[in-house]
Amino acid sequence: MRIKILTVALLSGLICSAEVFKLTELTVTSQTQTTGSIFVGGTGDAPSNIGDKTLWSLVVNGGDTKTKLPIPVENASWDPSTDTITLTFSPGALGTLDAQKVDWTATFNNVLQATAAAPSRSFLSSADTKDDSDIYLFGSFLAGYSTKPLYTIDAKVNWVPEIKTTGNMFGVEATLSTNSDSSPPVDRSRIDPDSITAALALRHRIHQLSLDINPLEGQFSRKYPASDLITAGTIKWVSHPVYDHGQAVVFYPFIGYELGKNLNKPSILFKQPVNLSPYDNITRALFGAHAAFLLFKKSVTADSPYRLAIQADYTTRVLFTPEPFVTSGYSGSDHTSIVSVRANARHYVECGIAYNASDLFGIEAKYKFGSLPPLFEFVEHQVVIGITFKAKLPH
Amino acid sequence: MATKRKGASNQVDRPLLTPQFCQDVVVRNTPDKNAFNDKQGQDLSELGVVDTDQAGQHKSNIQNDLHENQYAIKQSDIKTGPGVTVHQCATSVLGHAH
Repeated sequence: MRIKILTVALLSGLICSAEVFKLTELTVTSQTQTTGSIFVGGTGDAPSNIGDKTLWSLVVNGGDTKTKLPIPVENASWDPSTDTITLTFSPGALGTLDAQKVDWTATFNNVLQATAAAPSRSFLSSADTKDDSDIYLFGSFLAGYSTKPLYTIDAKVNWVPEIKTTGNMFGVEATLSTNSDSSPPVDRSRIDPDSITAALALRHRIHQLSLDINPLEGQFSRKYPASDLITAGTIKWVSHPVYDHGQAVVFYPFIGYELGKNLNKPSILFKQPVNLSPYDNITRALFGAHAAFLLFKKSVTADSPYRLAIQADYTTRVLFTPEPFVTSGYSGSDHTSIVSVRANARHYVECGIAYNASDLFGIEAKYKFGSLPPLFEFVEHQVVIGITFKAKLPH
Repeated sequence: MATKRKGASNQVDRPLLTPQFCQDVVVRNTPDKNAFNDKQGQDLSELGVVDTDQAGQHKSNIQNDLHENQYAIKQSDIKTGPGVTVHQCATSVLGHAH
């Protein structure tokens, strides 16, 4: 009796441990038209009859008539090393249809199904967020009592496509915002831009080097005012990471340059008279590195792979021509900005810790120290701590 | 002497585009190919594709490898990065190499 119970328990354990077989995707290749073969991915424990061609059906849907055309399967073979079923058919069965421009459906045993849709012909496709967008445009119009209309525009272009299949990316990066800090009432309507940045971008990766060049980059800010025109480039060594048991350490050093010309010499900055006459040409050498410690989640997802990420970025700019440097100090009891023009090295450090305690709850802290162009306003030990909670409720 | 333009596909004497070929290309171009455990569901982070920089490098390496084998592919068509499995990456190569 005890043996029978043990046997039943073992069998049920084996059944439970067997992973249910599913078809994952159907892949049509550039050679399907000539070789007459398509590939169906599978996951789980493949059934013994997976290679029985009579259990497979293949249908294409497309062409000018949009009719469904059954394609007789001539052979089916399962390759456990790639978890793929290869279905072969006579290439002539497609007639005049282009294998890569029709919808495909493969069905196994009248139950499991995998499909491949013909590629979309539309030029534009939807993006989920501003960061994800190549083109982003937001505009608003506010009207009300005792205020002139207030227009707000937030726009971005980040289009750096690959030139054919060469690995060279070339395109445009630009942002524009107007009246981003304005609030009613206002006395006059205007669409003067608060800030514009625009750059041509060229990127290429070869071996372990990542090359990033902005042949022409312009920056304009109404706040100071400040504007400059530069050409910049960096080369980064993407060294192999150290990975072990769900933890990784990376270290990527880089060098670069920034050359250009200052286009604006205001006589007053931060409500103080300043002498920016030596601030003309921009000639900087860049050195720095990115380092990170990454602790992966047990179940890694593409959207959120890390349980813990500690990252640090360090950049030093060696100036060969004098540029503004803005520190803060006290003039009597007033906290004020102090502007000097000199050619000292400008350091910038940014560190961050992001801890995803669970899929719902996360903590993030950032530390900044140093100064960034164009005005190099010195930030002395700034810490920002944030908490994120994100969840969906049942509907 | 004839020169081969990068990106051009010479269809003579090139290997057949199969799941096994694409899997081999994907694995041998990761930072740590020896970490592959022969399981399709293995995450690429375990093979050293741990962040976006490594993912970009992995795409570039796959593209160059395919060029050497007389195939072409756009880097944006290659799906790689932490959280992407060997199978998913190999399938993206299989479906887009030409």
